[in-house]
Amino acid sequence: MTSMYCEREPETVRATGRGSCSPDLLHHIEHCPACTEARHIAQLLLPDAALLQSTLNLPQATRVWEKARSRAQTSALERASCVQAVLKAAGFVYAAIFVIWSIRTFPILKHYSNLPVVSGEAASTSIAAAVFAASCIVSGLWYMLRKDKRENTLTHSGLG
Amino acid sequence: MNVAYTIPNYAGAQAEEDLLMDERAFQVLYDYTARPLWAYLIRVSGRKDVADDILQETYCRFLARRPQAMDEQSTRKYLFRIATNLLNDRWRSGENVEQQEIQEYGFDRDVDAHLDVQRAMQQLKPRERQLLWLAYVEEMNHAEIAAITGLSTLSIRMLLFRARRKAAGLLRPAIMVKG
Repeated sequence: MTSMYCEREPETVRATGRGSCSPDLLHHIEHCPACTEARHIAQLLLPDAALLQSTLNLPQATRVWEKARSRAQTSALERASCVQAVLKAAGFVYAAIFVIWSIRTFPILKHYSNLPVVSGEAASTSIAAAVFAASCIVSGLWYMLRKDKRENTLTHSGLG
Repeated sequence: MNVAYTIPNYAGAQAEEDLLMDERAFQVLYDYTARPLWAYLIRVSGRKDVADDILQETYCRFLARRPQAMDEQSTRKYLFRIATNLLNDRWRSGENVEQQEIQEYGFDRDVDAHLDVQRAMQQLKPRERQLLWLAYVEEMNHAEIAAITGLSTLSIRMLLFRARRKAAGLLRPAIMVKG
């Protein structure tokens, strides 16, 4: 029965790898069953590892590099598309809120020319700003939707 | 320029940034680390196709999340850690761990000892093969093996002892020839 572990085992393995043992270590190995066993196993595994490394065909670095690059690109594209999807969703939410707000606001303005809180001039400025923002967002959405539609058409027609 | 062109271009530039390393630097790193890592994967998985897959996946993951300021030894250990996790994931997902006879070419010495090692490794459990290789080929100490395998240092000591005993029994004929 060998002992479970010897403090000098790593040193024995390293010396076996180098191919040179100090006399002191050699003397220790002769009297230590754990180190003797470790040395025997290392003596068999190390040439096996060297042989494997020198004879088999390793995948080429350029192939691995290209694979990593293409995967990083796909992941960056997914992240970028995610931002675009969030912007599109935000645009739709704004458009819906604007429509509901305008339906509720315009009839009130028709009947009351002087609002209690906002003066007539400020109200018309804010409405103009809201309409301008809405037109910007709608034009952006229209562009994105048009692009999606064109991509779908190309995909379905087999050109994409 | 429109969105259809901008996003792939942005993704391309972002991908270059994400890799954190240029191709030339990668080539140097690969030359330095790939062979030992691949030998480890072949002997532990026992299959060349699996070793090829895991090797490529290891470098892809390394390039995607390489921590800054790593020296050569740390990089090497980090790669072994990724590869070991990938091997463990495969085994956990129930993939066939049957070893295949690997054909090696172009050697004319120590053939018997080499085949004995291959057969002995086939009879060991995957975890035992991992521990023996990391300890006796990669010359890692228990703490380093623990960091790579995710086990505690005490467990490594016990498991490595058992693996060493088992391997010594299986490799006895080769040891007798060599000795």
